[in-house]
Formats: sequence, C-alpha cells, structure tokens
Amino acid sequence: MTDDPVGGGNNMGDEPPAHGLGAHDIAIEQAELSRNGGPQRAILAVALIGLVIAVAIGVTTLSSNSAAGGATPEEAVTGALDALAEEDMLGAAEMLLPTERRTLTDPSFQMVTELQRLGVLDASFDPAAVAGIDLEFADVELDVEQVTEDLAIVRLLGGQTSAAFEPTEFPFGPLVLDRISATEIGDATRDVSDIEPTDDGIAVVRRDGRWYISAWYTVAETARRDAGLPLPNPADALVARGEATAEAAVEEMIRSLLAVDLQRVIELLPPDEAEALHAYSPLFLESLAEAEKFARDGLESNDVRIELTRLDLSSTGIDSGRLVAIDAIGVEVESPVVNGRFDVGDGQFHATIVSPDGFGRVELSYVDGCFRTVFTEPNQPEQVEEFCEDDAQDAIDEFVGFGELPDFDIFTSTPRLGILTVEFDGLWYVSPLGTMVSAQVETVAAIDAVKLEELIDWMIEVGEGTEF
Amino acid sequence: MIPHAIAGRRLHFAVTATTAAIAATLLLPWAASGRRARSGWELATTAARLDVTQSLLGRVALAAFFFIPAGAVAVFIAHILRSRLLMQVTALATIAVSASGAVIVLRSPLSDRWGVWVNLVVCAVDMTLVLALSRTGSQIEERHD
Repeated sequence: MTDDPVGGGNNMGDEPPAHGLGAHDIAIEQAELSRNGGPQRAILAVALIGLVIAVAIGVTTLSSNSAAGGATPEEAVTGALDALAEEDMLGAAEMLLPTERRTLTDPSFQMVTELQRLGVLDASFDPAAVAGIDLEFADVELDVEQVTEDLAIVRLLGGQTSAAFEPTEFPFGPLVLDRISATEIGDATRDVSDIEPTDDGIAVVRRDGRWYISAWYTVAETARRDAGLPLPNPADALVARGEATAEAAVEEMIRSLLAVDLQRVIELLPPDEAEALHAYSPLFLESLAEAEKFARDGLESNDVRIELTRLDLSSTGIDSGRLVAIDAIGVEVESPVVNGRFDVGDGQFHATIVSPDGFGRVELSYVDGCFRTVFTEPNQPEQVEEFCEDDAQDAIDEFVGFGELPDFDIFTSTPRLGILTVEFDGLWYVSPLGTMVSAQVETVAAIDAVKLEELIDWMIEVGEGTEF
Repeated sequence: MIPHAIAGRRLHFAVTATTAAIAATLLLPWAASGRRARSGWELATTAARLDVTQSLLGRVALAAFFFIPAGAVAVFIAHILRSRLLMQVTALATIAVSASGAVIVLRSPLSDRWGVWVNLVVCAVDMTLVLALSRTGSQIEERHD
C-alpha cells in the first residue's frame, strides 16, 4: 500500500543522528511499521469512519439545499422582512419563489455593473448592502389566510416601518458627485410610519414543502379577488409549450400574434416567469377566446388579410438565454380601404401604402441614412421629399445660442437589442420581461462613459446659461 | 542534517494539518450581505439554494465545495497509509476547490470578510507544502535509482 519511499508514520519520534539516505531511512521505516502496526490500524479505521461521516455531511447538505424559503407562510414573510431589515439581499432572495428569482434578481446585478462603469454609482456600491439606506420593521403583526394547500395570503395587520436615506453615505459615483455634492442631493431623511392593515396581502406559495413569497402570484391573486372570481382549476390551466430553438420560438410568437392566437402566445411564455399567469389562465381563457374570435371575425368580415412575407432571425447567446434579433421582417396587409407592404432589414426600411380605390399611393423609405417620401395622387405629379441625417446635424448645428454641440451619439456600438428567449428542459420560450430588461441593460452597456460625461456637462452649461 | 525519512514525514504531517486547516477556514466569515456575515460553508449552502450556477462546471464546483472536509480526512488517511501520491492528489483537489470558491466570493458583488483571505493564505501554504513534498519524493527516488 505504501508508495512513499520517504515514509510517513504519524509517530514523530526523536531525531536520529544525521547521516545519509538509504539503510538508515529504511531502518526507521521498518522500526516504525513493526512498532505502530496495531495502533495504526485503529487510527485508520477511525479515519475511514471520519471519511464516511464527512462524505455523508457533504451529501446531506447538498441534497437538502431545497430548504430555502420558510417552514410556514408566516415564516417566509417574517424571514424576508428580517433579511430586508438587515439589508441582507441573499437572505431576502432565499424567501423568493425560486422560479421568480432569475427574472427579478439577475437584471439588477447586471444594471449595477453598468451604472458603476458609467460612474453613476461608485465602485464601492454593494447591491447586497447599500450604504446610506436603512430599513427597519418593528412589532409586525401578520394574518395568514390559507387559500389552498399550496397558496396562502399573508397580510400585515400592524407594526411600524422605518426607512432612512443618508445622501452623504450613499455611494454615488463620480458622474454625480463631480457635478453635485451629496448634500445638494437632499437632506438625510427617516420616515417612521405605522403599518395600516389592508385587504390585499402577499401571496406565499408552497413548493416541495417550503413556503416562498411570490410577486406574480401576489399580482394574480389580487386581480382575482378584485374581480370577484373563484379560484382557478389547476386541471384547466394552460401549460407552457416551447419550441425546439430560440429562433423558432420567436417566429412562432410573431406568427401567433399576427394570427391573433393569444392562447399560443401565452403558452410560449417561460414556465418560471409566467407560472402565475399559466396557473390563473382558466379565469380568463374564455374571455381570451372571445377576444380572439371578435378580432378574427372583425378581420374576416372586413376582408382584411395580414401576411408575414419575410422573417430573417439570428441569435446570440447571453448570460440569461439567447437574444434573437429580427434582421429582416416583411408584412403585407390587404383590406378594402388600404393596402400596405412593410419591409425592414439590411439597415433599410420600405413601406408602401396604397389606396385600392385609386386615391393615391404613399411610399416611405430609409436607405443610406436618408428618409424619402413619395406621394402619388391621381392626375398629379409625384411629390418627393428627402431628408438625410447629415441635414439634420446641420440643422441642429445652426440652432442659435447653444454654441458648439457635443456628439449626441453617446454609444460606442449599436446596442444588442432583440427578443430574449430562455430554455427550459430543452425547449425555448419568449421572455417579455427579460426582453425589456435586457434592452435596458444592453442600451446602458453600449453607452460610452466619456461621451455621456461630455453630453451631461454640455446640458448643465446650457441649463446654467438659459434664463427662464 | 535530518534524514529524508524524517523530513518527508514532517512534510506529510504539515500537509495533513494544513489541509485540515483549509476545511476549518470554511467556518470563518467569508462575506457579508448587508449586516449578515456568512461563513464559506453558509455561502455555499446559500448559493446552492439560490441555484446561482447554471453551468455544469459551476454545479460540479459548487457540489465539490461540500466535500472539502472529506478531502481533508482523505489526506489524513493518505498520511496514515504513507501514500504520497494519494496525499498529493487529495490535497491538491481540496486546495483547488477551496481556492476557487474563495476567488469566486472575492469576485462576487458581496463584501468580503477576513475569513476568505485566511482561506487563500492557508491554501497557498498547503500548495507550497504539497510541491515541497513532491520535490522531496523526486529527489529520493532519483537517489534510490
């Protein structure tokens, strides 16, 4: 068993006289082996038991990690309030429904990073412990209404809240503090108020035996109660149904919207982000079907036809999923009143609107930085208007009183905008909330910090020089 | 001069003790969220609960973190068995997992606490000892040849 020519007995004896390697080393080994054979076996047995225990602790901890949330609905809410009072965002996140954490927490961290880069927030800004803000809750009384086995409403009946803001401690970045001092931002405030009991409460849902706060169930349950509707039957709920690829999900979403198939649109929403919407769908499926029928009948009776003539999509992977860009899209609309054709793609835009009765024709286009409109009326010469981006810049430059203008293009690159798709169990879904958030984050991420500073300085200069 | 058998034995003991110390540093405060400080073990538990890692590599690394104490015990067993190879492999794995965890915490938006730095220092010391052990072993093998 021993592969060590050095030896490694755990019995640290006295040092023998120093001399070279070889016979003496081997002698030490043999002596120790014969001397410690029995005790060593006992120590090894204990160590092996220790190893089994250590592995068991690791496995147990790993497998019991679903134990976030609270043991009861009340515990989930008090846990979240305690965490907020300690500004412990990790603790608060543990009380959130796991399927909602991704949509609610991830974008915040991304935006903080970008705001730090631009200097709006200081590099020391810690989203897990925001300096200058202090929340406290005292004597909070809760009322728990068990709605179903897995859903409860927790209402705040009483207690006090205290919220304080200290501008001088808040980690504003240099973009703010180089232009305005923290004391100018405002005075330190502390608002203490009593919690007023309300009918609306916080929805807390049970998953795998633990209770979690849910923002979307709170919205859905509040809406259900306000509408005086019964609880939805889970058996009738819509089930998320994704597509095989990110591009396919977006294409299906666009085609479903154009075909006024709203049920399919809802099915294409992610099972986490739209969990509550899917669960409460039985309450509005009938109305939805009526609305779809009304819209389709309206289109049909008015002889309106909408057709997707072109759709080019491409996608890039980002942290939260795949961002699907619409590289080109073409839509054709035919009706007795007006016919239209719209094409966007390859940096160009073309639209043609024609009156089928021969009253005229309008063409709009954007090609190579120039907008062009062509009006054609019967028995009239064509009216052509053209306006290019360079002309716009000249017009702005001639604007009286503001001197030399800064570069209004504050972007280092074109923001990566697109429709965010997310994957669950090998299928792709369209995330509306994620799309909005990613558009904000990507836009901010494309801003050049220096150009932004120059623009703000120019605006301040103009503001100071303007008398109202 | 100390015979190499004794020197190697001391190195074995030092690696065993230092790897055990790595496991112990998991109980020190590594980072704080708000006013709540968490130990390395608590942080790993919270990270697993919050499902912060999506990639397979991240999940494996996080799971491995919970077996750092087992790694320390495995190094002790290697010490008893006088298995230099087993000791080096288990000690290196323990160091890699622990140090990776510490670096991830330092790069995260959380405020780091002194425990995470102690962990990194102990990892560095253990790494040095493992390298020294390897070097000592190689020298002896060369001389035996």
